[in-house]
Amino acid sequence: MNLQVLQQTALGVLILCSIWICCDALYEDQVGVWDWHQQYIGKVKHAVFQTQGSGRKRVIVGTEEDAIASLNLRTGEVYWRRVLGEGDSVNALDIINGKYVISLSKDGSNVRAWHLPDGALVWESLLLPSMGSVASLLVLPVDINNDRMNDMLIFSGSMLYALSCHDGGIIWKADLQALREDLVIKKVSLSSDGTLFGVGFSDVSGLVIVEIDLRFGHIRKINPVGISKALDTKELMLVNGVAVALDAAFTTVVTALIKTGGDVKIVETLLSDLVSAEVKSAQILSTTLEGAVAFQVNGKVVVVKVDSATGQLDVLEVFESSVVLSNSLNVVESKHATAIVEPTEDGGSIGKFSLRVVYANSWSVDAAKDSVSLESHRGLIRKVFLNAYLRTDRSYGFRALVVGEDDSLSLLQQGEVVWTREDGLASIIDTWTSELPLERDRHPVSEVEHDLADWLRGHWLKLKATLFLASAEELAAVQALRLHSSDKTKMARDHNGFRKLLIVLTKAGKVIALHTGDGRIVWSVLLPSLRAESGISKVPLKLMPWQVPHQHALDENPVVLVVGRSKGISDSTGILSWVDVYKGKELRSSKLNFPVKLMIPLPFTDTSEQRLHLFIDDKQKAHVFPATEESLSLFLKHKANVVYHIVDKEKGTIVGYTIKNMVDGITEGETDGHVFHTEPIWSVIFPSETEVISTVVTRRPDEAVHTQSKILGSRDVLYKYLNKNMIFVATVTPKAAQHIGSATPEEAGLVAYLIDTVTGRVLHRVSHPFMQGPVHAVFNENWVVYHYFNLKMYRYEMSVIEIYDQNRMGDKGVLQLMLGRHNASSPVSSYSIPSIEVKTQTYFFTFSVKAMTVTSTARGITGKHILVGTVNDQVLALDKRFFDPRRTVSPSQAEREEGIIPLTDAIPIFPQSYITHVHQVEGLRGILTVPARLESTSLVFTYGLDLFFTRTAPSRTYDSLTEDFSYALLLITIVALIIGIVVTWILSERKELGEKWK
Amino acid sequence: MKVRWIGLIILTVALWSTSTAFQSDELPEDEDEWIVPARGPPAPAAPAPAGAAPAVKIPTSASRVPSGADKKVQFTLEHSFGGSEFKSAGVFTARVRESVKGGQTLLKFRLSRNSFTSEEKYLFQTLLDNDDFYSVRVPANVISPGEEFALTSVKARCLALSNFQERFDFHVDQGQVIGVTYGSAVSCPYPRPLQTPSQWSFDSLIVVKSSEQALRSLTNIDAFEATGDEVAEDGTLVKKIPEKSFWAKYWMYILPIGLIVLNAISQVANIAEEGAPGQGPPGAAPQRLAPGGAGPRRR
Repeated sequence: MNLQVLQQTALGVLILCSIWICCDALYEDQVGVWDWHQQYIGKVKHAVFQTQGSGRKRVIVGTEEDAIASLNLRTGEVYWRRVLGEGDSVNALDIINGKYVISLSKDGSNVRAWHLPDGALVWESLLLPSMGSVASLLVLPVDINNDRMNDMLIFSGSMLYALSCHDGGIIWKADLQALREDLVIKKVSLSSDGTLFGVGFSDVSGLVIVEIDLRFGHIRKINPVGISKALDTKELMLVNGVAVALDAAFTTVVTALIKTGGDVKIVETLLSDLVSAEVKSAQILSTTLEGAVAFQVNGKVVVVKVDSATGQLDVLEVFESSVVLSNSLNVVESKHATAIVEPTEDGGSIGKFSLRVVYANSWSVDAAKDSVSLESHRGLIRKVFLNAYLRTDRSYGFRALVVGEDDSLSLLQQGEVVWTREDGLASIIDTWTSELPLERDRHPVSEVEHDLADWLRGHWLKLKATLFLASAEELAAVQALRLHSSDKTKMARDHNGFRKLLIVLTKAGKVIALHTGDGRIVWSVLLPSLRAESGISKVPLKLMPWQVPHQHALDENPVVLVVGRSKGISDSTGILSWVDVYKGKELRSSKLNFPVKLMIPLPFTDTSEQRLHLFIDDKQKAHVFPATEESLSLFLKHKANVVYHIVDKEKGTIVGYTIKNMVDGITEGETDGHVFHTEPIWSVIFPSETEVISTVVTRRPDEAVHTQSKILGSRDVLYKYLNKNMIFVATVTPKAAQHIGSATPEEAGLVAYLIDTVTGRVLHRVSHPFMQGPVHAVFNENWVVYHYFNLKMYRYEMSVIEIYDQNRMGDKGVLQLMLGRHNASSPVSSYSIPSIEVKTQTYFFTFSVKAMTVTSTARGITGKHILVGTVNDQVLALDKRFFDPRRTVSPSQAEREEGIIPLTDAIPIFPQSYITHVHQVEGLRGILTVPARLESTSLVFTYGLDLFFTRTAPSRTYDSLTEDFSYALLLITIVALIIGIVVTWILSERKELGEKWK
Repeated sequence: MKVRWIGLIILTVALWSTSTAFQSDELPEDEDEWIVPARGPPAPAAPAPAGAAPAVKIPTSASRVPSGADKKVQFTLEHSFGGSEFKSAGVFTARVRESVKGGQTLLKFRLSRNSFTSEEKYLFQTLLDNDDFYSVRVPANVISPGEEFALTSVKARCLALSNFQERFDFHVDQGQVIGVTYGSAVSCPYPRPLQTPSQWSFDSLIVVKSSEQALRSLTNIDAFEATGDEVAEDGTLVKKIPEKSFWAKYWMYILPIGLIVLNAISQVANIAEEGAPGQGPPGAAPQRLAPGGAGPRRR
């Protein structure tokens, strides 16, 4: 009985200890001391201003990252933000009655009303529009259903809905498909007499005008207008009752005058007559202008006035392609203003623009004209939204919200940039961290040091706070000191390696360096080589460390390589750009003559510490970079041992290649770089009927492994199988590759593989029947943890595989370890037959997972935490010990000593183990972990729509004192002790002397 | 006598099995592994495809021989010397077993290996000199071969070091070869020394592995049930409190009551004794009463 109680107590203590380690939570006053959180919204595509009335001035924006946000018009701060989720992209935005924000999303399927002041969802309406068509929203100036609120129209394809703005209820719907199968409604307008006109295309053969009863949605009349020419059905504009379209050959502008009563008059105008030049390419721009239509002809923007009485066209102005026009804004009754933003001559590269505002009826006279200069790294302006305000002199002033080429958002007013948001940071595609310069004042940003008085004051305050003597103000001052400590924002390396530069590459081709101390932008550069050129846009792909100087750290700066590609129809060749990490300048760039399929950093560096890279092109040729003689000779030395693999998810194969002889530059036409032939040496073919590749995970190349063995509680040894060339592959059945619910448990299944990429040997293969993807996995040292869905139990599960080397089981003595076959210095060949032991275990897990990674520390001694990006956009740290496959229900005494936790069926989640604490990283996409120089600590950078940075110590900070440790108190204590010793010594001496005199 | 007979039968069976080159189906390493050393000489009847067409020459529909529940299937092993064209190098035979659930299992792989021709010996020697790859491949779908092949390569020097003791590790699933690893049957150290093989005949070892099923978390639940613990809705372990016995529950009441009863009985007995003084030595009776009241009296 006693023994049992003892055992239970021991077990309890053990569990408590293990939990204790996990509960490495923060105290309230530690929030923000070493973590930061930044909110972004993404590239803005829709904006509506709310500046009327007495309320706060704001602008509502819809972005390409599927977010709707309300921004403070004065500062650019986010009042509220709602992220709609993947695939629910915003199609249109509007404000109704100054009270609700109406959003149309997911191709017109979702209509939502948000409360303007706080972003609360008021109502939501689900519609069934025609898929694949552009959905539009039109707020009507009338109330159809007498609920004292104006109503709206939603149309997409052949479907038309009239919706009540009060509750989102459908008043009527009209499906025009029943009348004409191929009908696509493009524009809807309400005529002055209250008739609703829908104008669209019927195939390419002609225009169709539909007259609809506004109150009941009855179709009064459908009027197909035959046109002699085939039309381009991409865009149609409706200007004051005149429909304007282009023909398919881009030669003629077709205008149709719609009159009540159903008569339609067609006028055709040759485009070449309008622009007085031969037309090579043309399209209608979707900008809505009052009484005019904008075309893009031969790369130039032509604004054409449409006469609503005759249908005649008249060119108002011709602009260069870099011009941006805003939609017309109704300022007062008959005055419609349009903003025109153009780079001034040569201004595009240095960020100088002219902002003109013109009224539709007097196009040639500028209502306002300003010259604005944006920072040069913003690039050109891509979009402009105009807003008017009443100036102090009662005249109208204009402000413009502009979206830069780098996806940033700026507000311009009176020729000044009022505020700018770096919203490109919402779409990070790759990240890397760089060390800061060594402590020597050669970096661009220098920090002001504290003077001695400040330093002393700080310590005095801290001391008071420690001794509970500080007042409330002083406590606040201490907290402010901690939050804004200059120590963490310095632009130089620190002893613990906490200060680093986060280099991020955004979707717009911008490289931004963030300081890990406070998340501020140190520099940013819009890479010139990745900017669109003569209509061909370019896509950034990857960020790779090119040169990390160690020997010449004082004289040379680290260099990062950005790889991109052209996005032309036939041209998808690679682009390389080298960026200096300290200066933030593009050093050089190079346009490759081949598309890059795979980028492999090699584990060698040349004498200037430039890393060798292998680029594989679409013809399976390997290009060695840098293309110098030195790198070539270095590569040739190791060529025989270079093996790479290509994963083809479509075909379901993984093929390994070896490098063969060099391509003859003269006979085979390869002139630049050192190019090698390659040859397949192994292949793994997944049966296409039963398996589709879901996830492929490799080990980190820079991973530090502290020990090759694991000492068990029984003093036995297990050797980790630490093959760097191992990959983890998870395949699922084709049906289970789609969303949950698409397959029945019997149809679903998951197979996990461990493959040696040198020989293609399948080291381990384990199948999980009834399981379904998506699979998220993390591979570290000798273990893999992967996450998937169990269809049978209807829960998420996480499995672990640990791999141990059986070949080395003989090397248990110290002498054998040092001199035996398998000591660290003897090479291991993949061509020898491995003998591995695999231990696995499966646990239930509560959440679905968005991203998964593992903490990494400088030497790999510290325990590991698995960082899971949860469905709530938070980061959860799970102790690796919970995934130990050696956990048993009742561990033996020896196992308990070793720290094995008794087996539970699920991975426990402790509320304290969220490392994002109160924050959410909206739209979480990736987690990056970087080792600090201090062994116990790992830096964590999480990105999505938001950015979050913190540091975590999986085994607590055992190797340093906490930051709020009061050195002053320690010093005072020591001094007091010394004084005490001296005083007592003197007193005792005196007393002794007195005794002697007695 | 009986033992002798049995011995004789075993001997005959053993002899018969060696004479037909049949090797045991036992599982020497692992339950999931079928190790079949194919040590017989190359079968002369093996159809060596003429020419150098990379496609499989053997029409499998014709080569499938029905034998009860199992079917026999043949497929070609092709080899290439450092990127040269693939040529036939031997023929694999395997059994296809239709499983009850539908789906097929490949069993009992045999290989009849062609020996190297003099030209191939020369090519191999070149590979040895250049430390290049000797590649082999088999069709990914052995039952109805298509365009896809499972390819594998080994450094020729590894093969020479082991004197052509080769080893094939097949990973099969549903009659499909997912991957095959080819290598020498003994370890191959790095750096690889150049050693000319002393003999040119192959000694093949075939290991076939099929899928292994993962440990189910349900087994954990079973384990908990065995220990008397329960798993709550969220998967956490709930300690089940064992039902206490009647004595364990109420001993604190039973014990005092018992003592009171005992005391009362002894009191009654005393009174009775006092009431009849002539029956025993006076005053000694209460001391002699054992606590149980029924113990033997000391005399």
